[in-house]
Amino acid sequence: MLRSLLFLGVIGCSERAEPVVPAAPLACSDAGGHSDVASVVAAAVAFRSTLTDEQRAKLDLPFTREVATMWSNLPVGLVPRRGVRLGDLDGAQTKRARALIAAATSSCGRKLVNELRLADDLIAPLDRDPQMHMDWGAGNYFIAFLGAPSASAPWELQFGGHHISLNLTFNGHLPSATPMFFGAEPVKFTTPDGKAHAPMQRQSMAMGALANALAVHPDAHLSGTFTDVVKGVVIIREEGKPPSGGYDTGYPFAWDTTDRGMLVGKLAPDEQKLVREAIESYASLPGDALSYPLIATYEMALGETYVGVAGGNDLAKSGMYVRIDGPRIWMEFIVQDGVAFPDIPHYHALWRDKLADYGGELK
Amino acid sequence: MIRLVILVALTSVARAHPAPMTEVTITRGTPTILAMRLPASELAHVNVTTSDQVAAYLPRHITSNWELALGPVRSIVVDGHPYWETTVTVTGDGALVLYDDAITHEVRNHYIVMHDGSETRVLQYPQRLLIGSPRPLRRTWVRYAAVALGVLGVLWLWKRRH
Repeated sequence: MLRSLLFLGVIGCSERAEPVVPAAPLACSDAGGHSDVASVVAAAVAFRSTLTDEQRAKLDLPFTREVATMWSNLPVGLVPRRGVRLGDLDGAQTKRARALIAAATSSCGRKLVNELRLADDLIAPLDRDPQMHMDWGAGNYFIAFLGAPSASAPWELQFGGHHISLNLTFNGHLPSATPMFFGAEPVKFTTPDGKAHAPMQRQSMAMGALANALAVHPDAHLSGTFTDVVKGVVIIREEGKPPSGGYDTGYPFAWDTTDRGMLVGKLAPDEQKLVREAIESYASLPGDALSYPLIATYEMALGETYVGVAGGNDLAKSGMYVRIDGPRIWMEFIVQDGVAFPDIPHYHALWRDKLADYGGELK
Repeated sequence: MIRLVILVALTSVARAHPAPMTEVTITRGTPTILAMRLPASELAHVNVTTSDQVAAYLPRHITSNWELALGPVRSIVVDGHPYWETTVTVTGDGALVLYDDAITHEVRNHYIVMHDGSETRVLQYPQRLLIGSPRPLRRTWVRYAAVALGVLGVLWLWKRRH
């Protein structure tokens, strides 16, 4: 079973990523959750009610800067997470956990979470470096409540593990679904049931199409080289100690005001449409109660928003980088060197909001 | 058989995932010493791949109003990742201003983790100021003394009123 899974995975992901094909992103169906406070709180309370006292002690965390910034995109073996581990849940608890994620995300968001966990299961057998255990695997994803789930008081639902970090804040100063990180390795694969998966197809296609359009605009070309997202997690290395950190300790960031690329307003209408599609491909991952106001805010500010590209426009080549940088919006997409499959690049994506990260609750 | 060979090849080369950072440890004194560790993979983005090239390249990207003297450059491996390691001796008078953008000027997501006594700071493009003028005199005992004087003053006022 393991061997067949691995063979299928290798076969599925040994193909190079498709070249950039500008295309309209897939729309999220209406079958997903809405991220509205009432349904997420109800699902959160229902999930919590199935847990033991010991599990609740792990689930319930304070909504403080120190705890909220402890998310990461790195494998759990390198950067431990807080919260309840999905792999430790029984059947009933798992069902409620799934219902919670479904309530908090759109159909696209839920599909992304599920496919990223499948991808991690696929690469788990490759976790064989004796000096550094990655602890890949679908079980190594964690749910935490920062603050008590409430219809009125601020609290955060944190879901994360390797290549995904959802930080959804409810009842904060501003509607907030950020910081949100997602990445995929492999970028496409086939599971033993014969189903093909491409977890970040919509986002990579949208960002790839945008990079393609920006290639002809010298003003949009960012200087320098990019090897990962810029406003992500930070690892601290101290003499004589093992590396630490790997969390969002850089928050709040100084947002650069130079070398931002090209104003969206200077693009042609069909190119501006690609910017909107790229924004929506990220911002529609939470349910519509969060995504609608955020998308509206970002699109109203398109005139003051910049887009930039570096490293070409080939989704199969490491270093390809696209950024959308507005008064509030900060979205990054990068094609990175492979880790589990070193010769096959993989994707990282980051969505931040300069005002509404963590609901604007952390000072 | 071919599949098996591919599988073995893929399983043998899993690498550390996080991008390596530059580490700078500052030891203040006469002279001030910078111990620097720069990831070889990131310096390769500017085609610096030998110790001689590092020795020629670094002085152009570490700047100061004081005099800098670069020590020998050696190659080391930490956590399986190759680094260039060296020291920089800093001497001069007056306020010290020190900049470093050896990698961050090219690799935008690269971090410089700077250790200065008990303080740790993280710098990323476009920030490049490692240290500025000497720290103002804000020793802990001075702060405690100020707080204690303040408390005593409040108590004295309260006592006078009652």
